[in-house]
Amino acid sequence: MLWLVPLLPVLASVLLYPLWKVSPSRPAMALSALVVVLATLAMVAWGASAGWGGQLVWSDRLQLELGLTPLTTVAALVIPLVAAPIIGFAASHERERLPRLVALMVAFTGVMELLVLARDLLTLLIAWEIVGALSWALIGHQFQDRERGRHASQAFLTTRTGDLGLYIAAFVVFQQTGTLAYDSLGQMSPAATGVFAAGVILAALSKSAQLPFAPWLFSAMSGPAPVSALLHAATMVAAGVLLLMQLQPVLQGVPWFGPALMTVGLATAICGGLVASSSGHAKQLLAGSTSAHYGLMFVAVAAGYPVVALVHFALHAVMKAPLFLITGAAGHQAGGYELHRIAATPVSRPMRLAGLLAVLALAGLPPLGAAWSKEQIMAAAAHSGVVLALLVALAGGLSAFYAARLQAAFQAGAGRDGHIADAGSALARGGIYALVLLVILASAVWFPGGKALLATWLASAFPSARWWEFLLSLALVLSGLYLGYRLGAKQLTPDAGNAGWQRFFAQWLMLPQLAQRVIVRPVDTVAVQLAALDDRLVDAGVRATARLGDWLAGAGTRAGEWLLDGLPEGLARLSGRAGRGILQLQSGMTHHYYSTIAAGVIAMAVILVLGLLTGGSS
Amino acid sequence: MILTTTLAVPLIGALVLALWPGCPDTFARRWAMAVSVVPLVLLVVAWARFDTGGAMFQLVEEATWVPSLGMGFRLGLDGIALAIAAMSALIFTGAIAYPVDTRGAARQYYAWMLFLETASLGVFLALDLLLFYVFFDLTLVGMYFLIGRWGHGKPQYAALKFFLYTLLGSLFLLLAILGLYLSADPLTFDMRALIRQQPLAGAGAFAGVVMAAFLLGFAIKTPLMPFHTWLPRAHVDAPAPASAILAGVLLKMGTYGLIRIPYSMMRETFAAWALPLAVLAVVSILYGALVALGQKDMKRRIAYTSVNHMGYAVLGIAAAGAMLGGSEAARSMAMAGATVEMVAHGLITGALFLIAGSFWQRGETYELADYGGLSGQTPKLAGVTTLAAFASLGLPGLAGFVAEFHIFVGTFGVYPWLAAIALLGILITAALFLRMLQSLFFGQLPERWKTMPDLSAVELSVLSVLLLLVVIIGVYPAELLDVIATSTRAMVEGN
Repeated sequence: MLWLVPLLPVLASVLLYPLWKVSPSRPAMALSALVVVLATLAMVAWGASAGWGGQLVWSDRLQLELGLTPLTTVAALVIPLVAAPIIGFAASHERERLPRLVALMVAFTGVMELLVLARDLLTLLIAWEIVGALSWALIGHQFQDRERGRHASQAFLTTRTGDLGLYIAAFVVFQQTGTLAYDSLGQMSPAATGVFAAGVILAALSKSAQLPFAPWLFSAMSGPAPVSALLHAATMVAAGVLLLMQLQPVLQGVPWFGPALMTVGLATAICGGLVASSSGHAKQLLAGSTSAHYGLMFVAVAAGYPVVALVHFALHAVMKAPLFLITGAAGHQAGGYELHRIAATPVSRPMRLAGLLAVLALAGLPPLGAAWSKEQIMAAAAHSGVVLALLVALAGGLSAFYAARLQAAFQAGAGRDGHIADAGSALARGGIYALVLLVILASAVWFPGGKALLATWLASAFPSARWWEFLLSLALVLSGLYLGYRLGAKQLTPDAGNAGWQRFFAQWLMLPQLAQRVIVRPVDTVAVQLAALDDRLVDAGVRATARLGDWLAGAGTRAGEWLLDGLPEGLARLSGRAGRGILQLQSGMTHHYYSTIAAGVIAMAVILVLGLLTGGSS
Repeated sequence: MILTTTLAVPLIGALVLALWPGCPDTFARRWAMAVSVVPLVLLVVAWARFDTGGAMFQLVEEATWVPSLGMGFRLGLDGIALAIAAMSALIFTGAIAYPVDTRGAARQYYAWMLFLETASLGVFLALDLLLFYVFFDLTLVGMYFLIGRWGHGKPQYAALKFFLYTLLGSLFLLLAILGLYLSADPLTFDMRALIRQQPLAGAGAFAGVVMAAFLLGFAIKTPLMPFHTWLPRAHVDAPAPASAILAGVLLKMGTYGLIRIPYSMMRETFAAWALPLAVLAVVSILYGALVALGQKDMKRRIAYTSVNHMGYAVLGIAAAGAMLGGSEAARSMAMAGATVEMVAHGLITGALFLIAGSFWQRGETYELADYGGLSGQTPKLAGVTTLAAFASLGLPGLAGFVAEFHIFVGTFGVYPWLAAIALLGILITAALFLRMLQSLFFGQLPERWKTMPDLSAVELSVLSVLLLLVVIIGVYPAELLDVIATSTRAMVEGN
């Protein structure tokens, strides 16, 4: 029965797409899409309480399995909950090829559910790669621009590079246990678990846009704003964290797992923060911030608290989505997403206010929910080392800094003349409000007893925080907000942020250029060279053989024919001449005959003697 | 009689066309379509009758032919042959139905198509080694005329090169078959008897020579690097439906032959040669993908991906035959994967070549750089091409993934390093197909394509059927895997 959860959105999008194409009425499209996504949400809730599961047998050895655990139930609920307002916004706000966009987004939600519900590596791998393919289609939605196609491919190839890790992990599991089920992961030998862990981490890092794969999120910006909202907040990028969160009990047995993941997570959190702090482009700012926050979630998993990562995932989703949508609405009006363009556009008051709430959540300001989960991450990190906790706090400060920069851009246009940027329709606005309402509601976790309640629901323990951590983090958030707003407001000109270090960070530490130079271009060169070589060298052998054949044929015509034709002709000539010679023997003169007979007798005698001699010797 | 009828009907259909000079073009086309459906239906019936719990070879039909030589007219199917034959029959129906410029010689074109169908299906249905060889060579004749008469570019050259090169492969094959035959006691060409006998077990150097000849013969047909250079030329100059058959059906004869003859009849020698064969397969996988990436011509690019994909199939076969006992689970996975790869590659690459034909019919060029921005102008063409491209790059949920996943999992259990290296192939194929899609469908629409028509109903329905099967196999391959398991149980697990 659990199959219904991923199948409903996927099948519905296949069936609804042609209908939408025939009658592209926005409200009808938005409404039907919303019904599908919310029905999915209801089914997850129902299925979780009814204990649904699912199985599909491919063969004796391979079967696909679905199931729900306390942690994955939360993820499976968050996905449609956040997707619904985003899709509603898209259906009532976007313009180009709307049926395709909405259908793909609905299907995307379904496949992401499959990814979360998977209870074996085969199902996971299937969902994992299809998510990538759908993101390709969504990023390249505006096909008239060739660059967007290139970006879509870049995103797909970067994440598929990581997918190879997941393939290897699956191979190892099958080789060790003969199945691919999560339940059997514990039976692997320590060495095999190490290889498995490496593969899984590689896949998770690439999907969740961690170093060194982080820049693919910049390419993903080529998609329309709601697509970015969907990818960043609840789906694609979340996949890596959601996977590691589930496998953490197995992976923690690998000695290097915690330290390695902690290092990458923290490095991405800090670097992503610097990227977002330097970028002069609103969407890239948000992309850097996404990498940074997923980095923090990895820190939580590495510290042994996957449940904290889950809570931060949910709270990050509800605040990131509205930020993308508001940025999208403003950027639409401004004709671009550069901060200075947005600053030159008046943004409507409700949008500014909604933006402010989401920005403060991104900054991690209490009492908003995301602040709580960030404190929890810091506490979890502190269990592994105080320095780690300090670094988390620093990442939090950076988050406040760049969040304030974004808000500064939203505020700057207030009161200016010009067309006011807004979501456009009641439904689109409703989507943003719904998300912001979730941000506000999430503050409830601060209530006394909230933590204990969560711990019981999710059947997991939370780390205990210390007062100095809270104070330090609060101080960093406040100063980040202050500085970000002050500096951000000053830098809203086209030529701002041109310092060398700013450009370095704004281009993701030049990682895309590095990848281009070290991987893409060499492979291309090799491919072109090999293609030429294949024509010239490998085939040359064949052509040489053909030429040899031709030459032999020619030689045959000249020499062979001369020889083979000459032989019988020569023989004929010879016998003719012999015949004439013999004719001369018949001279009619007796002494000629006698001498011939004598010669014959001598010849016979010689032959006889020779025969006797050779016969005697044998 | 079902298998004999399967082979007889297209041949009779071809004869009717050949012997009726005044036959109108439209009738020739409809006749060929109707005739080509018969083998497809019969093979579906055979599939339904096939007992997945039963013996390895089923539906056997036998008639004595030249008893003194141990040769007979023997037909039959195992799970692997059934899967490939059914796929081939479908490709033939699709290729015959696909619109193509027959240059005023529709009667001859469809006659050769039907003749080629009998020859091709015969290869998969034959249970007699000599019969197998006869059909194997007859396919060359049919394909030679299709390329030479209805091709473009330098068709005569391409057809001749194709014919001579692959005939060279057949020559080695014939020698090897004779070597195998002469070692059998009693002398027989009966495949089942030869599989039972394993005539060359313990024959030392002679077995090695025979194995080398078999491998060379089949490597040319498959084709494996470095014996592949006849392929791009033949593909580029062939008419699209013939390309679809060449890639979808004829290439399979190499890998199918590998499974049926050296793998099955010379288990011991094959095991000894498995590692070098696997290495050659991995080289083909990477080389084929890289060279495809370097192509600027759509059809050449697709052609080279065949070298890559058939490399996967050979890798699976080599891994399955790598040892005589042990790692049964992994080795049957590899063998099942190789078979699914053959079916999947037939459907997917068949569809891709037909699509390339649609581009040629509209634009008379295969140059990727000539196209662009077609997403808006021809959305159906764009959708179908995208689906086929993603299937070919091994996207899960589509048939290619099922095949490659089985092959990799299986190979990993035998040669972990080779599997890991070969895995890079799926990354390069992803790059080359995505770039192809970028060139064709992204960007501004060039002025000259502003009137390009989208796919016609016939084109769309043929491609839809092929791709629907690709999706079904990708989502629920149980039916196919079940049939194949009947063979792998006997061939790998020995029961």
